[in-house]
Amino acid sequence: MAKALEGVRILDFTHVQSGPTCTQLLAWFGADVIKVERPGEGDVTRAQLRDVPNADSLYFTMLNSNKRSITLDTKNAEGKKVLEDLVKACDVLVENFAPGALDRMGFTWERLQAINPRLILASVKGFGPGPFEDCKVYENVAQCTGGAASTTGFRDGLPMVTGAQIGDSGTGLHLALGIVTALFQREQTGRGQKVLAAMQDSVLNLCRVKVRDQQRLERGPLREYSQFGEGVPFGDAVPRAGNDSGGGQPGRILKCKGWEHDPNAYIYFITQAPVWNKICEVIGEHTWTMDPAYATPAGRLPHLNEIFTRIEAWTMAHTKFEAMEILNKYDIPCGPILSMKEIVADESLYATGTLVEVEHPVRGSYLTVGNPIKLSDNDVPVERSPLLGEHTDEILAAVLGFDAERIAQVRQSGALGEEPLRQAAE
Amino acid sequence: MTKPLEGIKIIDFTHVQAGPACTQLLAWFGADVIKVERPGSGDVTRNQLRDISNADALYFTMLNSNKRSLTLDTKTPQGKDVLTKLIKESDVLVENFGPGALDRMGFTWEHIKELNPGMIVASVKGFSDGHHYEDLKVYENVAQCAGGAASTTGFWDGPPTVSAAALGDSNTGMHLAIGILTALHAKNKTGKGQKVAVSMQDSVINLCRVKLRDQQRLDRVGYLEEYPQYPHGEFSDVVPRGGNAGGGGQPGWVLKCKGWETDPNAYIYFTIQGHAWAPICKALGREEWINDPAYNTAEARQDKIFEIFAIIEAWLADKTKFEAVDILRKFDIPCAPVLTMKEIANDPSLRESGTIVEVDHKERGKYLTVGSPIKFSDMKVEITGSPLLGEHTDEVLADLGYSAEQIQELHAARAV
Repeated sequence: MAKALEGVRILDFTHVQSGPTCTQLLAWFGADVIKVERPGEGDVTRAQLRDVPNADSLYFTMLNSNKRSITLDTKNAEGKKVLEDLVKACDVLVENFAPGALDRMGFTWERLQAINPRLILASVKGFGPGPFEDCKVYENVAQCTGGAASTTGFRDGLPMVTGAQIGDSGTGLHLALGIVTALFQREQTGRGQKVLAAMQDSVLNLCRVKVRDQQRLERGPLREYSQFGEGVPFGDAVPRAGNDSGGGQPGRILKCKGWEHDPNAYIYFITQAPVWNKICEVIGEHTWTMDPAYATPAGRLPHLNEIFTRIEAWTMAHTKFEAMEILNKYDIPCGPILSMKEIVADESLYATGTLVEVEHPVRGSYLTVGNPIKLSDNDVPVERSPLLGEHTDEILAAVLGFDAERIAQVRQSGALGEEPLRQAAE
Repeated sequence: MTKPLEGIKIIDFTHVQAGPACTQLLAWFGADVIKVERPGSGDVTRNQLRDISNADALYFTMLNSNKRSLTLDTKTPQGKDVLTKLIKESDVLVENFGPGALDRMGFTWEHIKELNPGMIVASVKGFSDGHHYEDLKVYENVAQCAGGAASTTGFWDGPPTVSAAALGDSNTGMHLAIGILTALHAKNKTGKGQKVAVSMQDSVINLCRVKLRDQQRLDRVGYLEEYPQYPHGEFSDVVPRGGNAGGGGQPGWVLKCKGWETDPNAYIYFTIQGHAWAPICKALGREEWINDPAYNTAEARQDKIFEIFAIIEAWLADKTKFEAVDILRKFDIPCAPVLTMKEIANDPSLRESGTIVEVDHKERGKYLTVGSPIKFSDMKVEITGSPLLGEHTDEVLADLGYSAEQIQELHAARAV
């Protein structure tokens, strides 16, 4: 079966997380992703947060599967020539360099278009045009400037970042979305174009409902926030809402049996209006179905703390999985807080391909998050990440059509580095 | 200039957030998105969290711009006929119903393929097909809890915490949009459609990839050196919550600035990047630390990182977050202000770039929305207001070839 992006060749100039997430996904859809790395060290994450000495770190291996690696010194004259050949042979160039770096390498958009008018140039930046355009942006900086930190956490505590990588991986996904859109358009126009995803914008795109709340706040209090029921006045900016649920059905994270020792013995509990009577039945507060102070959503708003404390007394008598089983029978929406350890142990996630175990020649087998987007006609097995420069000769020969003599010439110039396969030999 | 998805017709059977975020984006890219809604009520978010009585809520208007609305009762035979016609003429059907709902409507994947072999059917699920929780209804925060985000967000001595960013809803919609475009690209070559599915749990896990990395590192070495728990605290066998720490091995934290006592957002994010140590010391007026072996390596700083942050906080005490960032930028020190939604809504650069857009609405007047976060050199995304319920019913039916008389009949039969 043909894969969705078979025949699409991607020149991957990205490193660390945002760009590699993007190109890894495109590789899973069948694109041929050629990762260009500096001779010697390659992507900095190969050596970051290492858990196995001398082996590529998980940081690298989990973001660069199904790719091929070529080492190339783009400052070397021969290296520049090879790069130019690669630009001709590829459909998409993806980069997350600092602003202006590609220009300084001599590959301006005009020059790239002259070399290959069909080329799509896709870039991750920290900010779009404006005063911060030149700033380098990291995950948490993006979360702070995209409005996520200011609205995450508890009202009486610090702004808070989330463990989910909405700045890095999130932006990579937005870029992938732009690339497949531009590829689709190229079918009609025959031309490439520039695609850009800024990290601040990508975070903000996930905080759309908080922009909604900002505008609602200008017309009155946000009634579904716990602080409304508690009588705490609102300021003029959207506050942090702790673990409230956003959609108007009050929800909280509640302790379950064992919370004293287990930081993940919690359940998310939503007091959805249509199942209120069932909730009262489960927790044994039968009078709450009739009492006007509890029987309606509006009546409950000022009592949410009391109500959730009462529900928590019930959840604390059960483990999160026991509670979940009981609540499911009543169709009461809830969800256990799954730890990374529990997620790793979840057989269902392996069956669906969301979690995958891959063999690596240096570090042995490791787990990775596979393709979260399931296409019925796109069965791409997740492969391990490449060793540094593992495919250099293969790419020069098969992609660029270099003969042995030409490859030797490029190698002699130093453009490929001295020991591209050093790691494999260790 | 033609838009990338011009000529693509999408049947939008989605509601609330995940699906509408996906189809709205495709509409911005030029697709003709026909939102099919129940006669009378329509998408439930039209009246959820309303700020203006009798006008569609911002919840709806900010997720359904550039679409056309068709009201259709798919339980009536005439309604089914209209849907059949629509399927024959469209490229994509997007849905976020409960599991099995489309089948019960009589539109199984096999039937849809018969009607239109090129059709792409795209679905948002709570959990993947085959997952032991596949029949659960999933909401934003449930997805965050099931996807590992809540367990790894918050302070180590506090509860798991959900993020304000819509990791479960909007993020899943973006994943689905990638899948749809990928399938459209494949269809260009093969002429064949396929099924695309994204689960909310998977989409959250996909953004928590580095936490899965940390779980495996923890299993192997027993500690995570970039977490605030190291070297003083203890690690269990589960990835802990790291508070506001920087993830990539560069220590970072949210620090108080002038006015924090009264302003909950008077903070900056400050990163102590290894190569910026000397500039940081200069900016703080602590030049003696530049060469002090007790401070001049990341390793040496590790066990006093919070003391160092406290000293930086003292330096920040008389500076607003914007003043502080302006000073630190000159030294090339990575940092950022914690921006509020109010500040973002009024940011001139974001207006200029089209990330924040003001749109007109027939009933409610002007409102702000988040525009396309993806910028193309060959496309200026134009954002129009969301449709009123059934605003384009007659127009869509006429497009399908119904005569004025037939349209009258459909109205009389309450099929539309």
